[in-house]
Amino acid sequence: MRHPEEVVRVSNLTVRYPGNAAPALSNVDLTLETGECVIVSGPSGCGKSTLALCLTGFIPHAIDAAMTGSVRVGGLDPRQVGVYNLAEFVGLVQQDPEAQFCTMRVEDEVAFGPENLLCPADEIARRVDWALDAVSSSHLRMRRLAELSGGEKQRVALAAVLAMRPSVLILDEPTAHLDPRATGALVHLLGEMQSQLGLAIMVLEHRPERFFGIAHRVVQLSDGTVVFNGPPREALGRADGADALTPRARAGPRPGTETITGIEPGHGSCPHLGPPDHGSPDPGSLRSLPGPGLHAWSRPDPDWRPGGPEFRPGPDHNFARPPGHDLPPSALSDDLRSSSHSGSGPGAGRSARPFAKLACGSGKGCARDYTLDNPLLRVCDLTQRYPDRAVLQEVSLVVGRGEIVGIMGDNGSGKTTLLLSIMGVLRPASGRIILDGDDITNVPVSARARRIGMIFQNPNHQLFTDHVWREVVVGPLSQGVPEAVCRPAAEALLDRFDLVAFRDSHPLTLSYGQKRRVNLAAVMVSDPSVLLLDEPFVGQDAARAQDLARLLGELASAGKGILLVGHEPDLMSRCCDRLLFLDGGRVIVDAPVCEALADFERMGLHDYLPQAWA
Amino acid sequence: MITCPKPGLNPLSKLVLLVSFCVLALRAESPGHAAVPCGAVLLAHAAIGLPPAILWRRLRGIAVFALVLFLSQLFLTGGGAPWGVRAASGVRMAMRFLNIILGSHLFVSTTSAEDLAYTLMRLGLSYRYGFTLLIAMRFVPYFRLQSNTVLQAQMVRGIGVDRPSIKGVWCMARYTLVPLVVTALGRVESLAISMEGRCFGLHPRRTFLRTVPFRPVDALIIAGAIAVVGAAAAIL
Repeated sequence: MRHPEEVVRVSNLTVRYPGNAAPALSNVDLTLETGECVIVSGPSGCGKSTLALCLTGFIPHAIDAAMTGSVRVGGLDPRQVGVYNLAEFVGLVQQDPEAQFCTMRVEDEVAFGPENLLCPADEIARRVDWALDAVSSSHLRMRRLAELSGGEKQRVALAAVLAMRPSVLILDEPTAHLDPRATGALVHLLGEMQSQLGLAIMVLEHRPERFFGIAHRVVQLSDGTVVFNGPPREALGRADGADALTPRARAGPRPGTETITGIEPGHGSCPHLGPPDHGSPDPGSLRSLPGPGLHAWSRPDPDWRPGGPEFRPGPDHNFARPPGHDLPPSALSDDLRSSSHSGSGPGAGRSARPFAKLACGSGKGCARDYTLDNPLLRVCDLTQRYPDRAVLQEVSLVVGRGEIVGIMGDNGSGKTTLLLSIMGVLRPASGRIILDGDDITNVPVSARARRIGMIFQNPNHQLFTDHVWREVVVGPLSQGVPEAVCRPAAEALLDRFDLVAFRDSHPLTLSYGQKRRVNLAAVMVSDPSVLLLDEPFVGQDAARAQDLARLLGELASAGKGILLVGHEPDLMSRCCDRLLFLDGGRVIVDAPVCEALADFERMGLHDYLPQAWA
Repeated sequence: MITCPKPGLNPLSKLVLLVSFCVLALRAESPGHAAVPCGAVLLAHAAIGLPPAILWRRLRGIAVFALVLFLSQLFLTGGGAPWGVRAASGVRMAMRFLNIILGSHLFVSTTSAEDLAYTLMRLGLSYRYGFTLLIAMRFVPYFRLQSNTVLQAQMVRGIGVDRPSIKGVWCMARYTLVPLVVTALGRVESLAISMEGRCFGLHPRRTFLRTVPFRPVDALIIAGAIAVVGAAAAIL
């Protein structure tokens, strides 16, 4: 057996970008041995990517930054040898596999590196065979890259780097674009590569717990400094590394709950997801938003008028539920969960509660049992087709007032198409969409936008203007609403989302989390009753994701209905009241969180179960 | 050894054919001479299985422009020349234009950009230029997808791109450019790191795994095309 050999040694590394007072990395010490897997975690901006760029030589050769301290990769100093000479020792797989491809076919992409090294054709062919075999993707060899799934692209990106025969593999947020099933497969694959090839693997991850099964060590960075370096089990209890595992803290109570101090996670008292977080909410987060149409948000007082005294909920304030808007029971009893386990199929546990049947008027398909008497949004038998296939097949769902409904499913299962169809961007082949009693199936998007807000996955796609204020009001202005009318609401939103200081800043200069908040403010300024969010947690570290979840909780508390697409089982199960699972364009699970998770387990969808469930 | 997955002519042969065709089309003086290559290229379109309806849909704008060329020759030029001369000149101009576009369309329809790029790189074109072509081809669908997403994002904000109006078009153009450029720049950075991290640019030359077959028929076609062009130059 080969003895582990140290392949990376970083000593006292400090990196400072020009113009930045604070160093991106500060006195970092780190080692990596052959066959070792180290997870480097920490919030966005903590220096993970900077570390990767130092180890691969891009800093300082391609990216200007001042480096002090010592870095050795395979015995070489990146500062002296440069990117090219390091490329055969260390390979970097970036976050988005699609963005790093430079050819059209799998074989060409994997061969790209060896070709640049002037390898003869037969040697290149051997390396391509080996690399594709190492990632279990030999069958993809002649496929076009554009035809591959997200997981397949990630494997090809890995193979393309492996073909350089590196000793060290660095993966930067490798699961950001993968669904839980593909994530599980990738982790398994990395485990095999590590044990069989003896590679040293460094994974840079916001949510390290996904890799704890194969990790030897976890290194946590905070503000460029190593704050923890130890085995995964010790990292579990630490805030930065494991805060995705902590229960969701909903900043305000849901309509119908009794006290402000009882922060209630979406799953209520589901026994398998741990106790709810009873941390104190930020009182400021619940302040009312003065402005037309926005008083429903966090403001139960029907007599409230603009210009009145600012509302701050007291510690014993009771939040009233919007009249006539009954919510589903948020807490599931132990009995209920056990009945869902012992039941004969999905929904067995649901019979324990009184249901109200919804009639959508279509006369078919929609006669399902729901716990909602008066849903805000109803989708009935929605079918959506692309020229070659049906993407959604008779999808029916409801979203109640104050309810957060999560949609999960593999990539390509139709989640985004469902949101775009509800929004009206895509015209459905059949089916109906009913919003608050009105059939909006044929209403144009611009009109729907006043009642439904949608947030896309990439915040940059929704930033159109040159300063934040304009960004927030551009929607209403485009619809002919005078700025004076939307100004109070917009100003309140800037205040609420901590964006006042950036009012005149260019939106694209903001941080990722700030951009997300600008997106949310720009949508909320029209005071929509329903919010659709497409994978809003992608690319966000645990703290930011929790912030966003808290914001969504506040919105739900104000009676908004929220339909949330996401891949993160832990966050989704804690953020949502109900989970749907889409498979091949069909809803195969639609149940409150605990029952849905039991259904996932029964159906073998283990990758979609939160860790706390296990 | 891996070869071009689709059997067919080598892209180099097709390129030589295209150039020869364009030379012939440009040298054709009479409408009758110009109609010959036009008919030939239309037949070739039929031979590759492209339905006339699709061809018309793709090229109707070109046909309209050819008509404009003909009419402008007929009415706006000539300086007192007889109508017949002006009409012949107009037909010649329009046919030249149509022939070059039709020939190029046939070439693009039957040749993959990657095969062409790899062929040219193997013939000595600097691989930096070859990969510029390949990467540009990769960016085309990406830009289409991104611009579609940005337009959808505008629609859901109530920016009236679903309402046909001058203001709507203005808003669409104004609000599409910035997000598109920003996402493209992010992608360029990732691509540069990916390529340099795999030693792109390390050596002045590089090796290739992919080969695009060059068969005897390709040699015959190239020789034939050159001969025809030479003969036409001598005769016409």
